[in-house]
Amino acid sequence: MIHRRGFNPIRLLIQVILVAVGLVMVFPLFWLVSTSLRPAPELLEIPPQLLPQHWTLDNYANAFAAAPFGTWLLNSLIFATISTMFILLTSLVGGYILAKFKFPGNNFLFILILATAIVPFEIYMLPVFLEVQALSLINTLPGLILPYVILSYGIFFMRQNVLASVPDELLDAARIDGLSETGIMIRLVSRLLAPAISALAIFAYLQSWTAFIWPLLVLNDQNLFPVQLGLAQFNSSVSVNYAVLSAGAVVAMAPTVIAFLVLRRRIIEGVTLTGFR
Amino acid sequence: MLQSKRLATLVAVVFLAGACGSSATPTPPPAASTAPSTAPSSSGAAGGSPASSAGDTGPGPESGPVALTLSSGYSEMDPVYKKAADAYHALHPNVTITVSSTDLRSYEQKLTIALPTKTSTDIVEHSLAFLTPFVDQNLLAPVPAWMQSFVTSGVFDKFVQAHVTYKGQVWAVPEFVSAVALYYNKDYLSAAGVQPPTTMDQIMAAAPLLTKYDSSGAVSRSGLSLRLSGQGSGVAEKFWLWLMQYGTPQAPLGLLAQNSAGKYSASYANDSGVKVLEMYVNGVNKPPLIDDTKIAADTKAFEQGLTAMFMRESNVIGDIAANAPTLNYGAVRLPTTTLHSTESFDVSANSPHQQTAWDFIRFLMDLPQQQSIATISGWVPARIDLDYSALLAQQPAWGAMLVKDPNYQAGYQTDYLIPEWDEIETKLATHLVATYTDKSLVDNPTGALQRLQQFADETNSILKAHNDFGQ
Amino acid sequence: MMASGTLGRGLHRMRSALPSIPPQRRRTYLFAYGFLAPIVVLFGFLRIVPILYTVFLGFFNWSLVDPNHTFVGLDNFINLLSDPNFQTAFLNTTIIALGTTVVSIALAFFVAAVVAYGGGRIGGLIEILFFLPVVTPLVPATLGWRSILDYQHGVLNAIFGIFGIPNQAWTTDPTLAIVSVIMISVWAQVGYNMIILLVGMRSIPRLYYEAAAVDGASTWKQFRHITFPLMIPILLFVTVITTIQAYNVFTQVFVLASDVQGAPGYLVPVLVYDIFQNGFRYFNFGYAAAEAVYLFLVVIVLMLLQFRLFNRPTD
Repeated sequence: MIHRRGFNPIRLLIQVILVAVGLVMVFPLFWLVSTSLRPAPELLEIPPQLLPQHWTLDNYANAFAAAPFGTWLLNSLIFATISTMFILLTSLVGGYILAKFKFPGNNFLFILILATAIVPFEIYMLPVFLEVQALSLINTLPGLILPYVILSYGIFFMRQNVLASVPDELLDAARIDGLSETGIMIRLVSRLLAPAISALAIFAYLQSWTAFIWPLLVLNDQNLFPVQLGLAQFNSSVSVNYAVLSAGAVVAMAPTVIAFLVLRRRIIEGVTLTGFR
Repeated sequence: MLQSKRLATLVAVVFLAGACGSSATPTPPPAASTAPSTAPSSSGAAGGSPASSAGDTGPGPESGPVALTLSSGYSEMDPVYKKAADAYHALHPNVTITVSSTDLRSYEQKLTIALPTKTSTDIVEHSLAFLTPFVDQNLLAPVPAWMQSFVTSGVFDKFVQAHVTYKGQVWAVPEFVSAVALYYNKDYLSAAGVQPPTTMDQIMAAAPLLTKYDSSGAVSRSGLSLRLSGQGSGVAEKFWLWLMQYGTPQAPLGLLAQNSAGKYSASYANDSGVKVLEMYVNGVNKPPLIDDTKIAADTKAFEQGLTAMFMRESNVIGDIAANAPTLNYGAVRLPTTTLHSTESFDVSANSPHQQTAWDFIRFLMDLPQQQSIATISGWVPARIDLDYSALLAQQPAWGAMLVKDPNYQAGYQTDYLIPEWDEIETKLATHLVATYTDKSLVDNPTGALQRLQQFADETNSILKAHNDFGQ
Repeated sequence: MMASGTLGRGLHRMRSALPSIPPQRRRTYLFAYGFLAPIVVLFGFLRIVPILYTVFLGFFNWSLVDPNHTFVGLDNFINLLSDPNFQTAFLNTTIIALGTTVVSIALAFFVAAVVAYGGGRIGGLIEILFFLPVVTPLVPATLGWRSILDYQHGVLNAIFGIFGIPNQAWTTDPTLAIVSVIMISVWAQVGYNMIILLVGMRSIPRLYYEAAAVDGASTWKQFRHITFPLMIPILLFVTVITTIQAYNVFTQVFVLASDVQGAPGYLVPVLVYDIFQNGFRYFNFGYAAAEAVYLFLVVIVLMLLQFRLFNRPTD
């Protein structure tokens, strides 16, 4: 377990195997990109070739012509952005108050929030659907976003972070300085928690960008679809070949994959920090 | 303050990543406003006044701006509706109609949520059999009296009328119909010296002769594509189609039997059901094999020359014309009975423009619009007073689809008009998929019957739960 | 953290100057309740009420189309137990959940161990390669997999072919389709598990290993007696999270089975899909809710298991 200096053939071998397995991990993504860049007749080749013989971008043009991918991406963007902003707000405020204010029921509320954090959405999605229906929000963007404005785990996570990195003395000092409670929360606490907030933001954004079953239930107008749902429907339309479909798939996954490649340090740190995906 | 700056950058980058995706490529404009600007056909201009029908017409569209929506589960019907919407808009400039269409599976999923939540389009299109649960709950608008008398005026075949009649009342307006026929690849048949089969025995004899095997003995081209897997009810529908062939017009055989009181019970756990199940199980497990779960199936396989025969509706003709124009093929009627369904229109009870909606539906019933269905989409128009001679001359396979054969008339069945039918068929399909590959059922009629009895028990218990059961 | 450091020091000075100022209680309470109220309302409306309501719905014959709901007692729960669709779905989901959990954690543990103790310079690369699937949405990912698993034109069968193994029906054979779903789920999960396990391994003090090395313990013995026991709580955490997530498998199954005409797709019956069908296709909300309650019970058992094991005194 202790590093030994110098050349170690076994270690090298293990590393080579690991990189090979790692390449297998990204192969499905590579394969989608590669498929999306080849003309349709090359799809039928046996054995399949790793790279296109004739490179083409036609499949992307065809995908965008056959389905409203632009609208779908925009819907995803709206969905993920609004959801993330709400989750950050509710988690920060809720977490901060639960951590720093003693009032009857504080503990009970905290345990309740912690307990629901692990219950998957699929278990209670039926009543949520009925609620959204009662509000006449089926087939609307607000109806899509509503269940995603709050995140139990987010509140819990923020509470823990406030406890760990916001000392009481600091708050009292700010109060003496005449800062209002709201001002303390916005100016002081949110700054101290910046790393936790960015970790939570990444998580919330990913969560709504990849959401599938809720959009499937709540939306029926395809002009409101987020891109994942749009892609799934595109997949079942008869006239689509695999090259065009792959182009659509690349479009649907590119935003998160690119964001990851740009921000990978932060994202991986975020995961280790939140322990949640 | 380093941290918050980083956060801002992070958020900005995530936004940008999303925004790039959406702005890099032009957003296709919404569907309806850019419907292909095909000029209304010469006959289309005749528009509001039907050329030849004994049609009753209603009060016409509402005045003032009206935005109507129509959705369909058949993307091949999209151009038909859009063309009609344009023609209608030319006649009534105050009415704009937005047409949206998806594949049938997604459409059904959406419809079952949209109708009860009152978020569907104004006009919906499906078979009445699928829509009965919504009729029961007053989620669909009643068909106006003038439209009912149009539907019963003789422009539709009697059984097409029956397909849109539920609890003694017209509940939908027929748009197009489908009859399943057996398609065959002419080249493969002549190479094997086989005539187009017209009896079950001939079909079963031909299938192995038309099958090709690879060096290991596995099927590389199916002689008869059986439909062995898939989501939804399609698998059970194919099973039903084969089952029908063992009945006669006098004593029809279906998945359900109806008693004199109008109640239903499962009617496939019997000798005929066993014959059909054995045909599947033996066909994929016991030489001579005729099909395999692993290989391509259905329309696509037929177009690629990977199957010699399969059963499908008329829209395949249009699909082949588009995707495999050189394919040398024909179609024959099924031996004794076929499945015939009627896709029809209904108006949501929640629609604020029901009057205009019915008027547009009436417009779609006019001959020019009906005539364009076959040529554009490949489906058969519902009206019977159309001239098909040009179509038949162009592709003789149409002969197996057009439903005017007096000798065949009795041999049509359609989906049962009970709200739980979709559930029954879909669940049966799930069980069948798992059963077809079961080797223990090869040449095992007792086992097969036992299995069918289990499925029938489930079917009957679903019927019981809806108070529709009766032996 | 420079900012907070400065502030902290400033505040230290302040506090010594002004020993104790009682907080303006009323104002702060008003603030706390005022801001917390909307969050509690949202939390109740979107989490607590739906969870309780799911159980409640399970006792009714409840349909989305029919406004008349009848109380049926335990009927839904009892009928489910003898419903072959539910039995199959439950069995399949359990197989998928266990398969996904065991394989993804074993693989993640191996990778994390190599990166933590013998990774050298490739650690960063491995992190990227393994974590990319975690951030890839499942719909496009499954489409990529479906193409790889294709019977005739798929890459996997092409590779098998090199070794003389005949083509396998990854997406249409009922057994292999389950294997395929597990494969996709493992693929999507292993990077996350690896990162979490890596955190755990890196937090084990090097001192322990150094001491063991001095005592002449082999690499295997160090692993067996230091790494493994210390990692048990984290392994447990990852196991529970992964199992719960895997029990909710839906998207992979949904996309894998969507049948483009002629492209065969076998639908692996799983719990969430069955809930979806019963609730929204067959208009049987109560029955679907009862099914969700059973899924909930699985989650509760897993949670209790974790708490129990966590609280067990270490020996």
